Amino acid sequence: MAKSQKSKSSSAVTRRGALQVGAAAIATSVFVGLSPEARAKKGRGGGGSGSGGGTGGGTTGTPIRFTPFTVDLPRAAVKSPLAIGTPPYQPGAVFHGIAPEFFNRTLAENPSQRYYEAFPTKFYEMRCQYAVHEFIPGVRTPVMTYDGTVPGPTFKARVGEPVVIREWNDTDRELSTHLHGGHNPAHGDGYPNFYILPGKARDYYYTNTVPMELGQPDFGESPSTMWYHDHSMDLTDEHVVRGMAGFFLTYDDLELDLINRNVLPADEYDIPVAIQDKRFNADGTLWYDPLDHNGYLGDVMCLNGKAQPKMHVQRRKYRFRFLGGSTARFFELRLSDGNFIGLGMDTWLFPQAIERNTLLLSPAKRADVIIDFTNAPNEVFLENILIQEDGRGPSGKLNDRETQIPGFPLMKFIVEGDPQPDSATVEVGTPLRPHTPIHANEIVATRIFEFERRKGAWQINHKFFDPNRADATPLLGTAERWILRNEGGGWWHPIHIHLESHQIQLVEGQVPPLEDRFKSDTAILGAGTELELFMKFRTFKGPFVFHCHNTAHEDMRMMFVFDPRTTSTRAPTVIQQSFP
Amino acid sequence: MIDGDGVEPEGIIGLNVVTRSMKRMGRLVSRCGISPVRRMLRSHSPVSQASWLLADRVVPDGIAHIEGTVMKLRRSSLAATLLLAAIGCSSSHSDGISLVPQAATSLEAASKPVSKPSLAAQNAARLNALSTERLPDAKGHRVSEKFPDVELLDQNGKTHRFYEGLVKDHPVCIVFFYTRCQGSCPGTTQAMKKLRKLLAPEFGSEMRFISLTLDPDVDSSEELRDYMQRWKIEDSEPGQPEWYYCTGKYEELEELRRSLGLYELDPIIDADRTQHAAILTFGNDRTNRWAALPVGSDMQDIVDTMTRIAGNTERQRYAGAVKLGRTAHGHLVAE
Repeated sequence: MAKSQKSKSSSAVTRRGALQVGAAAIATSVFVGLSPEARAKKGRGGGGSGSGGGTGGGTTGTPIRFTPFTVDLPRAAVKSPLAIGTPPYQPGAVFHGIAPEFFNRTLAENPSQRYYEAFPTKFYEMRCQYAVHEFIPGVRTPVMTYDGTVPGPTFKARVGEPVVIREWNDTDRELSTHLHGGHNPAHGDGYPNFYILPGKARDYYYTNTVPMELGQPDFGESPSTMWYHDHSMDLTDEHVVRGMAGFFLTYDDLELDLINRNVLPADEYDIPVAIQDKRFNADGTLWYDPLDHNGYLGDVMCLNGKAQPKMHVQRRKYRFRFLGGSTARFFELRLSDGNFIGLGMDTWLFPQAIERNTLLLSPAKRADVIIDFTNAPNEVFLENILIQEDGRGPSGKLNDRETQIPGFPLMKFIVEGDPQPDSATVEVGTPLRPHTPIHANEIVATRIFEFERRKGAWQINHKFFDPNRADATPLLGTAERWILRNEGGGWWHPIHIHLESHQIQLVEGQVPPLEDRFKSDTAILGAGTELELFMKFRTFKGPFVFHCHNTAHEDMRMMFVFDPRTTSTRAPTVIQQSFP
Repeated sequence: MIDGDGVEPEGIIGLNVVTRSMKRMGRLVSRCGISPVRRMLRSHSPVSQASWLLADRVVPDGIAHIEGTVMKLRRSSLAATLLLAAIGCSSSHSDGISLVPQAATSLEAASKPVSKPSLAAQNAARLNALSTERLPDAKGHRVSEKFPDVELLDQNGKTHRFYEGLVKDHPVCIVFFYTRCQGSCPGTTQAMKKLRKLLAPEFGSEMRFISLTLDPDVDSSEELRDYMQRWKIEDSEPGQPEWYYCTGKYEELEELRRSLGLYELDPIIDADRTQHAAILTFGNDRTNRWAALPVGSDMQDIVDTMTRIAGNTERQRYAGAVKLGRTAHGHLVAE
């Protein structure tokens, strides 16, 4: 049941007399992104409907037509380090310095001396810069990027391998890079006002270590799929929409072993895919309104920076790391043929592979999955079945979402060749990474955070965000229970807490779906719901933030500070350190 | 954009840069045409020799001794070592577990060269690194293109075009209110009076404050004039932003309000004037930077953010964002 495109009526002429009623008529009569032939053949609801292409708040959508499934899904290049071991530059000798943990390994709990191989540090340099990119074939779009590409380069590292990235800001806007899902020092975690100012650089130090638990490394926390993106105060939404995002993949011994034993696909069969919706002006520039505080919705679905791409695949298993890279749009992914084998949620692998029919991806969430094309038909579509009309969130409730099947086709897999039944041995039930749950008897404190909308602004516990104020001061080395309450009004908030994984205990008083019971870093707080999670706070002193990952809400300061301390401290209080 | 095999060989292998021969061996392995991941696994063996041959980093003694291995250390300077020892970084915690709470000075000590200027001197240098040149006009699409250029009537009965007359090429701060509001408006008006003074040093009269009514049927020019008098707000104060209180046609003001994002998607809440947005919308049309903040936010935060977003020079924008360090009482360094 395709919903017709909603358009906000705003009939008066704008000052410049731009896109008007005529354009609106075009948008409703022509499905953007789905050629008439394709539509006739597949009978799919398409670009004009809420599931794939509904836009919120604007009078029109993208007025550019293109033929989908003509461009191959690209893969971001893997970034090479400048040097390994010997620094090619003096770490910290830039305007914004480097984390103090770099000079004092005990602070980083970097037990390279015993538990990890003593990996030498990898030194990188990255430039944040303006560039031009083609999302839609033949259309050149100015973008903001890491190293000139959308998505930015993919980083790969071993768990235990320290990384320093010297990031230069060649743009004219303040930036702050956050490695989402990472366990990192506060200096380089993307705190919103720890900027990289224009023309300056900051050395981001990622220890790539896991927290310690009772004197042993907690390898259950080994990250697999992280992503990095801009996080600067008040400007995050625009910078991410304009292109500032990329992947950061790490591998520990366990995961390498799974790969080596041919349990998991690897190399060219292991593909990170960022799914993002965009909207364009007639001249190919990105449509963006920094004063739309509801959430950015686009009608052109881009995967790894290309609108509705295609991918030629062999008849074997592939591993995909799907990222909900939009800033407000939620996706629910489904295959036109077959199910997924779930390998992991957000940054971490599951204890065992599970069956997943659809993948609910809020902004910032990742689904690490296997798609098995061994017995697939010649064409398989990756679809989005979730209907979302505006920036508040999907239609329906968290446990009762409005979907449409078939959904909006995001990309097309063209399946070729003979079946390869021995491509990788993973199947539903295959053991992956053991998970040690956080137990209730480990909890030392319970905190309640109520998210409220008042007069166009967001409050948490009746307070506005203040970057100098710590709202929670957990004791390092302990576990806490956090209860998150969303008061309602149809607003969905994917809540992301920095520093460590959290374990979702209850959603609306019920045990969550299987895929949400282990480790996550972004928890979907549906409209009018409450959830409870357990979380540990280890290794690094604060300050860190937690916030809604609808980045338009984040920019309207829907954010709070938690500042893990080595001694017991009452909150609220001033943050313990600052790294401007 | 598509790389050959999806894995960067040297990045994954984690070669030990100990000796040249190991490096050569690594290169040989990487040329063998074996799957990079499997290559990586071959190098996965217990470390026999670790090296921290890192040019400018001082490694505390506690880290130096791995059981049975000899670490090569390069100490950049004796003074630096002594400094680290002095602040307690020489660790007896060889298991690497405990955290050494840092003295406040170690933050700067660890990240700065040995003969260190004072915090005040560092902050002065950081400030001087910010240019005072007027940043260029923004090119291309401007956010202000979406604003309808409606006709407004101010507190003196004078007409202005919203964009051409008030916003174009100026830094502005915009709010919606109405004179009969008993809710957030009194607080907003108070806050804006303070802001007018606090922003004066940076922006002078180049900035405009624009208060737009949600209630044009009641809020005529005279009503607006009365409101300003009750609140002791002058149109012009020397060296301070000009303040315009404006009314106009209801439909046009509504269109303007929506274009500024100050509406609720829930039509019931949106229609209820008493629940109107308590948001300051501000920006600089010339540089095309805009943002909005809850008016109840911390006042210093609002000032810092408005100067950062609407500032005309780097120094204006970032002076508040570059200060290092903390005072003896643990508070962040103030001006």
